[in-house]
Amino acid sequence: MINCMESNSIGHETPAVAQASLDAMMADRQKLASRTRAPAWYYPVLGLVTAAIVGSPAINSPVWRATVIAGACAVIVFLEYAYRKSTGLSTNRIPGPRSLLILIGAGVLVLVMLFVSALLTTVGQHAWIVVTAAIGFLTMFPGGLFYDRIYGAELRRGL
Amino acid sequence: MGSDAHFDESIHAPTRLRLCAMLRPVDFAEFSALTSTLGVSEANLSKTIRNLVQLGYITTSKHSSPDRSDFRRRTIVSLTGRGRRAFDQHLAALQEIADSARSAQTATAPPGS
Repeated sequence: MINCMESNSIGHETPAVAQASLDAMMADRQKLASRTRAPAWYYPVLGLVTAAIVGSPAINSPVWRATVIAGACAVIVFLEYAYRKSTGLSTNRIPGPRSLLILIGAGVLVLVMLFVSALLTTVGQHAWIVVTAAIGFLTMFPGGLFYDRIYGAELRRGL
Repeated sequence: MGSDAHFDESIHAPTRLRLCAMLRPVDFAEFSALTSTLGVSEANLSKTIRNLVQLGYITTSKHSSPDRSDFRRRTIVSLTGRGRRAFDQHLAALQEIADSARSAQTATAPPGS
């Protein structure tokens, strides 16, 4: 029930006005959802970076491996900066259960692929790391585009 | 959103309410993104933000921007925990009011209509 020290103040608030306020907020959410879409190059670059991280166990030299991972992390930081600059938003809040599920699923898949890459390196099957790196890439592109679509849909519905 | 409905007169003005609704699902937004998305003037938005900061519903911070040659700083706006609670409760109150009309229409509709 409406908490009502202010119940008198809503005496003048008709259902039509309340509905108009809700409609205005929903219209703004549509605009916000369009604005949160990442630039076209964002997910391909993120896919390449993810592939580099997943494939890094194949690099024999520890120095080069660390360099690749550090470089990939630097690119991820740059991507976050570029996203904020292009949209003017920081969208780390998850608007609904489906986008959360996709995010967790993608994170788990990348970690599993990284583990499999390390395992393949241990058993000397370096060639197969191309496959794990490719799965890492596909998780982000086109996987990221799918995440963007679900994220936008949940944001539009989210009042 | 799981909050009790509570009509909050202090955020019910249209620009205040729309600003809170815009900030609710994001961590923060830049001032320029808010003016363009809400379609309000900078002066109007500045005043609204100032009022909501005084209420403790919104915080702002200034960040320097390397891509601005005039040394102006970007203003970052975000909803506080208090602001999120107030908005969720106010939204629930608006939904109750809007739903009450639909319930009344259903109750008064003649059978079989």
